[in-house]
Amino acid sequence: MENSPLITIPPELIHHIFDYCDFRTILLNVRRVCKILYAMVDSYDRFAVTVSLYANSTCTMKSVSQNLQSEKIISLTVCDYKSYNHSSHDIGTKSIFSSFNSTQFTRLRSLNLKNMWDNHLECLLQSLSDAPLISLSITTCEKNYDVTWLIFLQAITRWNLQKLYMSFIDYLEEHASWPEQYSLEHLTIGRCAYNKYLHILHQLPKLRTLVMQNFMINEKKIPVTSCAPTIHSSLESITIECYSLASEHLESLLSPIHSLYHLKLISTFELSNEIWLYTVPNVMIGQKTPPRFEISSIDVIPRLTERPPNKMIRGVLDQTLTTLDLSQEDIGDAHTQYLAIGLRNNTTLTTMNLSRNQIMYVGAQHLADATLAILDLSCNQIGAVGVQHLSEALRTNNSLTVLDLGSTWLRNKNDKIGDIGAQYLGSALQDNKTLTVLNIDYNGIKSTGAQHLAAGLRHNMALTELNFDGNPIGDVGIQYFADALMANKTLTTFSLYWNDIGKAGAQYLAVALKNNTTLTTLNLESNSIGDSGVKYLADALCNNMTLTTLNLSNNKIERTGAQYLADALIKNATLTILDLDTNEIMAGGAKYITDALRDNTTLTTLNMSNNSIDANGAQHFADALRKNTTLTTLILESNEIEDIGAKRLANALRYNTTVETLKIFPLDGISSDAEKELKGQDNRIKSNNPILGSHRIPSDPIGSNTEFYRILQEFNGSDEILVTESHWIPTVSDPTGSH
Amino acid sequence: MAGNKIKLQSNDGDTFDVDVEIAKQSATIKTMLEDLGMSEEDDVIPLPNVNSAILKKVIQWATHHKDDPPPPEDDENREKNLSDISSWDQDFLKVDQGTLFELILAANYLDIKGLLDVTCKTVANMIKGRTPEEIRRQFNIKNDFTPQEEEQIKKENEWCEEK
Repeated sequence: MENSPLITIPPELIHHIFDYCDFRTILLNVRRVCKILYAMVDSYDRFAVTVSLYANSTCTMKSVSQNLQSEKIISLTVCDYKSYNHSSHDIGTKSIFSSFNSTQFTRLRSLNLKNMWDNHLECLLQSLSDAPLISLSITTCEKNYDVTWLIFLQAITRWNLQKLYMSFIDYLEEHASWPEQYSLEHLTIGRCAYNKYLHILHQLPKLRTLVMQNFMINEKKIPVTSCAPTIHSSLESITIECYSLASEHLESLLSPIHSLYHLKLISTFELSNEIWLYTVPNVMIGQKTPPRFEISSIDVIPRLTERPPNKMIRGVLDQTLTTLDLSQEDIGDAHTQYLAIGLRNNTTLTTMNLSRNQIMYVGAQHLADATLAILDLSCNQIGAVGVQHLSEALRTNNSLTVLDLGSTWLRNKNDKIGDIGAQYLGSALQDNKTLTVLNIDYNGIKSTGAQHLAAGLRHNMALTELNFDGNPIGDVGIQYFADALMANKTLTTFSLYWNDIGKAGAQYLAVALKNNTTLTTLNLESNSIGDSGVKYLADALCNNMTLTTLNLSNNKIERTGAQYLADALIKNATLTILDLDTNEIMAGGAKYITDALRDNTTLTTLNMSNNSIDANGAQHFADALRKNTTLTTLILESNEIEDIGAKRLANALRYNTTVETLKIFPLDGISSDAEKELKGQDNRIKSNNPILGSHRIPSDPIGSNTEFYRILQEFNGSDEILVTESHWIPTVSDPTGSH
Repeated sequence: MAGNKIKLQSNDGDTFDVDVEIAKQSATIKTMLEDLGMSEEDDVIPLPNVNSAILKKVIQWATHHKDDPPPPEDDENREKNLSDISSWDQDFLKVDQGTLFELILAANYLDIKGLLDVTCKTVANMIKGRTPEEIRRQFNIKNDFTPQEEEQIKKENEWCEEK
């Protein structure tokens, strides 16, 4: 049988374990287990012994000292329970104390006297006056502490104590006069009034930890706002076990000292986090390092326990940083307090990334006053209330230029800002004059929210970019935005990816495009505009002279739609980027577009990937390339142009000097050898790499994109279908049920 | 902003990237870094006394406790310390005895006071108030006393037996 680790680990570790056992278990039980442990107990010399003053007890000083060498005792606890029960003062006869007197406690460092009467206390302290004590703990049965304090003050001159525990014994200033430069480092006392607290700070400059049962302020004497002059103190930790004052009194407590790094308050009342969240950090600003503070109710369930992550604090206090990246750092509401405090004193930091943390509305409130230029709060849980705080700040804030409140479709619905949040933002946008970029994608905003945002947009004079992806506002919602776009004169980029926009919505947008003269980029990817909707948009393009980028990917556009767009391309002279990825335009539709390309002299980038274009369609593009002199990028990936089509395009490139990039891979039915050959033939022929910024695979896991998945399946096995991998969410289940 | 990392290598060859601030809870590693001037970037710190599974646990513990205030020096008022194991630590130490003692050895070797204290407290809690036979069973220890010896110890203990 293998030996237990308990008896094979080094003796000092066994002794370390003994340090946490009671002496009776060690002496009576552990010693009897086996020979090794017997020897271990014999060599152990850090006993903490508990004895009773009561003569009939099993454990008296007399019996213990007969069986345990007194130099092995470093801690002694003496209990007076029995005499307490009998309310008898007589038991303390000289004979009992003589056993202490006769014992030489040469290594006793800690003395703990429990439930003492004053006369017993006095006798014991006298008997043990030769022990090298550094720690003394006393609880008393007396109701009046006057004599207790006198006994105790006599005692402290005997020892140079470092730790003194006087639990539940109120601090009486009139008696307390500490020897000068007393080296006490820890003090536990009962109730303590404000002036006595100051007295302690003055008299005990080496004090590092202070535990008070209760802290009292006479409000008549001390104005709440008074700040006592700084006291030279080493105090690092304060605990108040029954805190009953209002939070604002904390300032009186903390203002005289600047060395604190731990504050623990246990309150007798139900604590509301909210109140503490505002006051505690404020009063802690004066301390050298941001302290750790713990607050709990009397039931000892912590309501608020905070430890500032060192890195975060250092970052925010660093006056050389301009950008602080704290994304995915498990930052919660309370942490943001520290950030906000730090930011108040920081003049250099302009960009803060807090995306993907656990910040909720309280945290958002803290950050609302920050004077940053760029704030990324995406993928947190600030909700509508958080947005309300931010919006109120935005009305008057004149520093923030970029605000990211985006989410993802994966997040819990409850975290999203929704229509109510949109309402706050909308009203803030009416007044704000600095915010230029706002991201509120995937926030569960519906048509009502769109109405409020649109109202804001109508009057806003600053916002240039609005990312509104993934909010199902539908045609009703888009009508509000379209109306706003007619009045708005600043918005240049508007992303409406996956917004449930149909034919009617396209019609509203078309009207707006005819009148708007500022919008340059419009993203309508993954809506359901269809051919009939495209008709309106194409019509608008004929008149619009500002739009340069239009994304109509994944919009169920077929041959007829392509025809409308082709007509527009002939008349329009501003559009430079057109994205028609993932539609059903096919060779027939491609013919219209390519014919238009012969005349168009502005379009530089065209994406018609994944449009079921065959080799004949490729021929149309090849023909166009021979004539067109403006197109620099043509993307035809994931079509069915085959070997022959690819070669036709490659040949056409020989006559075209403007195209810089032609992407035709991957495609069906072409061998890798042929791909290599074509690539070698002309280095402008490239494989998949996204060129249009906002290319995304539709991420709707169910419903509307079943068709897309069918298409995706056709390309199963080819990773290259994933136009932009970073936007592909691999956890999406396949709605067609097979793979 | 990510803090500097160092590499710690267990005796079975696995290396772990650990934040310097977290690793410095080990006084042993702190000394290596500061006194021996080991560069944080490239060097791998070999820990020949700790295997991979235990090192992983140690890092997990140190990561959870990274923002703790420095542990108090030997607290004389020991009574307070006896059973105050945080619930996180209690869960963390729900391991088999072999692992528990390996953690004690690792904490001792790496000189991580907080971990040593909490693991020793856990073992102490398994001993406290148990009879000798219960302790033997708990830790799988053989009674190697002769009956005479046993009688002798029993006598020694009589002073304190419950009356």
